[in-house]
Amino acid sequence: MRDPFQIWLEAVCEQVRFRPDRKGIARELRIHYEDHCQDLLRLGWTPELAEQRALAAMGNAQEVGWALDRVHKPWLGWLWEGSRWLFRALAVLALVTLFETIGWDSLAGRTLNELFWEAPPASAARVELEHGVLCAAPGEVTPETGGKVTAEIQLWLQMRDPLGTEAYYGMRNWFFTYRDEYGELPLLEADPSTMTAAESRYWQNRGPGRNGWTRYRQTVELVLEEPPRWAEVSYPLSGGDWVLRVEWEAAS
Amino acid sequence: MKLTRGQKTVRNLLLCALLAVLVYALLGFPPYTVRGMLDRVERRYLLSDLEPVLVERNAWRYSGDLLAHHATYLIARTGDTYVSTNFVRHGLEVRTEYWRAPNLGRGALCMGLNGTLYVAGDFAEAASASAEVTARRTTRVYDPETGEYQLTFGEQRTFAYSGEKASDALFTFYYREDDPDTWGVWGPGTGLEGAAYNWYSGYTKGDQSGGRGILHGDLPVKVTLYGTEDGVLNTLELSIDNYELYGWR
Repeated sequence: MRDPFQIWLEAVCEQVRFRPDRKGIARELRIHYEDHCQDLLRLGWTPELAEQRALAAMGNAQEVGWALDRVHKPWLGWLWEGSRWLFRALAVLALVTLFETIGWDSLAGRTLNELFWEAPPASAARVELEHGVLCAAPGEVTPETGGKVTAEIQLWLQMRDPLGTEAYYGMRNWFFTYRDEYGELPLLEADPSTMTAAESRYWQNRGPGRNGWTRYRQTVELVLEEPPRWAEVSYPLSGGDWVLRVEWEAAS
Repeated sequence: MKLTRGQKTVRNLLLCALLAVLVYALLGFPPYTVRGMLDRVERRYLLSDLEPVLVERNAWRYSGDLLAHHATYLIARTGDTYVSTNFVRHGLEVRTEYWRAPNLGRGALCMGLNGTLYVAGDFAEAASASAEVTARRTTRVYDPETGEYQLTFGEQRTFAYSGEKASDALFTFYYREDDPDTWGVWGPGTGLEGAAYNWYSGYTKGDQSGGRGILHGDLPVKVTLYGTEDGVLNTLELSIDNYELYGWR
């Protein structure tokens, strides 16, 4: 013969539509029932009478089940379960993304560069663009072997919205043009075999830049035959008609 | 404090939203739509109001890959500035400029993809067009002892194609040979695709491995636009990287 409490318990749980909660409800009700039995046994009741009394005190199985069903709403239960699984899946995805896609070095590097970005000096030439602010300032002029000089132009670009991972490597691929008083400078070809003697004046990126999520910094080198007085940065392909002019102080 | 199930659900969903933003940021804010890709290009290259001229997609799966790679190739324009670029999505990750460097040009621009040469520009008044692409055998030998390169040029050949007008901003020129003479790719009988692949070679002096590097080379592209009455409207002098002319990427 089956345990009368077990029959009562199954009748209660059948009313609860959110099945995953049934086990927990059964455990809770059983503890409640067993506590009551223990109390009655301590008062001197026989086991059979204690069980009968405790079971009667649990109430009508269907009414208890309906009440529990109202509390354990299936839609809320499934939403809760779903939110737990979604959280776990996203946590795994975040870890996979961190290690497989972007990597700690890029994440940390960009974040540090963003936080410790050195702002342009107040004297820097500046232009407001649709997507951010571009600043340019003259850097060092260094004599090179062969009578050439290297003149640095410092560039700062502060975007309104972050760029993707491809921009981590900086402003190298922006299509800026540079000119001095003798005309526009060509970009030093990455392939040295295609360089010609005529390209004795050119510009090149120096270093990878220090680039954050929205803040970019790049040094450009102009390789010239004599120290420049000024240089202009522009971006004709963008359709804008702006020009940033940087001027070097004349050597005394 | 013990939270109710409803409160726990709200908390979990808020944490999920935070994690989703974190994943999206870790992925580098990837664009999944053409408009999103154009917005990315606008920001990346400080452009505005880009409108698509060409959207081409293809997908492939490497052996052992669970997910396919989906590539989107774009040509877009704003004013008279044209840009070509590409995005490759693998799962949630989107890589920009994965296969090719972007190309920006004023007035017109060309892009090669999967056997077709696309030329974008303002072609509203052009009824037809022809294109001539010139390949030149180019060999570069690197001498590791001196660190110098020796560049030699061989014969050149011009390949002519007639185009189909795809829109007022785009002509297409199909150049893939349906039955290529694979024995002839090293010789003068080669097609454009074979020349783009085989005529641009880099070697290292003394290297016994037999390996050959494929040089990047800019091939001149001359596009002639014709009006409705067979008169020449305009001629465009463009160029294209040989890497864009062979294969399917």
